[in-house]
Amino acid sequence: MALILNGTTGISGTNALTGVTGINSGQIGGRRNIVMNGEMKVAQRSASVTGLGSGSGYFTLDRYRIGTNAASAGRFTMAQVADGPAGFANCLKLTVTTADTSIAAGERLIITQRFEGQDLQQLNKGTSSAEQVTVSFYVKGNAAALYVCELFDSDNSRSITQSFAVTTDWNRIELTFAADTSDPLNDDNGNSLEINFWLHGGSTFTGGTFAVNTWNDYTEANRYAVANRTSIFDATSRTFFITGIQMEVGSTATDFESRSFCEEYDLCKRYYYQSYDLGVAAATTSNAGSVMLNVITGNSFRYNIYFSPSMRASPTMTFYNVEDGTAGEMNIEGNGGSNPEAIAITFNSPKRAMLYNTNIGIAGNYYFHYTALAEL
Amino acid sequence: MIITAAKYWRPFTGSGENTCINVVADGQSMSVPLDNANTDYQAVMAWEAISGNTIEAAS
Repeated sequence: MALILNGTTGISGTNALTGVTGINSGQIGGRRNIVMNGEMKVAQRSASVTGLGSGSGYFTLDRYRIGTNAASAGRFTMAQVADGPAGFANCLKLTVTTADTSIAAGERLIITQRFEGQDLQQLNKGTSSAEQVTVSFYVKGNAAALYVCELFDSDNSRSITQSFAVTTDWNRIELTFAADTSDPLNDDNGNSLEINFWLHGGSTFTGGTFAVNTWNDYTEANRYAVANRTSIFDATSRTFFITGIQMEVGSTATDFESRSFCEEYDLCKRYYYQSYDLGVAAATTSNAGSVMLNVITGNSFRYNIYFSPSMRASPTMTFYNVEDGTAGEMNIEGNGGSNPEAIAITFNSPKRAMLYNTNIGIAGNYYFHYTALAEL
Repeated sequence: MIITAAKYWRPFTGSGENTCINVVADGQSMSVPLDNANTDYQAVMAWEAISGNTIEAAS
């Protein structure tokens, strides 16, 4: 049996199905969404961290980096909270706790997810067959606001931007970004592309001319130069909620591709893993999930930690005393954290780390927690 | 990442070459692998490139 449309057999070519957002009222098949943890399910490090704003890094929800530049007086709480539009249980919420209305030139606040180039080759970027990319997400806030979504090509320092409006209700934003026939992305494990959600910026980032949906070699002053932009730090009442982030090839924002917690957790573990339970902050005094090894001879140990899945790169490892949370050491059992011993890594790779010490002072049962970080 | 100390580390076994850098950054001790793809290693190299900053040799 053949499917014939408009006199032509099949559904390719001129009969290609375009503009299809779902099948049977649900998502089109799996693996369309390039974004990880788009439903804000995984928060290994902590569900909530307060007092952020003085530096960049990963603090709560996996894969979402907070980026600042010059120190701002603005402070905020970043949290995974149980809120979202229909079908979403969680979102990322920023709550401003200290306003900053005297904005220095170099200040900025962006929420970023970074992607490896080897995961983006389907975009055909830098070729005559380059694809459009559609980014969709659900947002709301305490009041109307205008922010910017940017795709930033880290390999070639190119940027494309579009603004989006926030209201007090959940709304789905759908932004189709132009194809870029210039400058291909590297096919490797490095940071090739970023989605940036700009929420605040000083004149370094606002002093130029905002270009809507046009790829350009980036000019810092243009990135957040949209007229009538909002600074999330303009009042302590400001909040920003986001979830259901999806980035997919093509010009259609399809229904959000939901994945299981396990799938998302495994994707996130390529970049960060901790022995602590989910959401338990590193350095917390806790035995749950800690590693124990018995040093019989009292003078040396070797211990392997295997990473599953393999990490993006050999990870930076930090070890913690289980009984008092001190970094860089392990503790002997039941000693209140005293008589700690140092741990170093050696012969490590994205698959495995060997822990090493040749000068243990006391034989006994040693405990430690660890974090392994290979973020982009 | 504010680095305040960095020292190479090498095991007694193997080739005898350095295998990681023990770093104190943001007040915390961590082991940074010698992997160009690791962003902390990149940060340590950038830190060392600044005049006056030195990674101590392994003991």
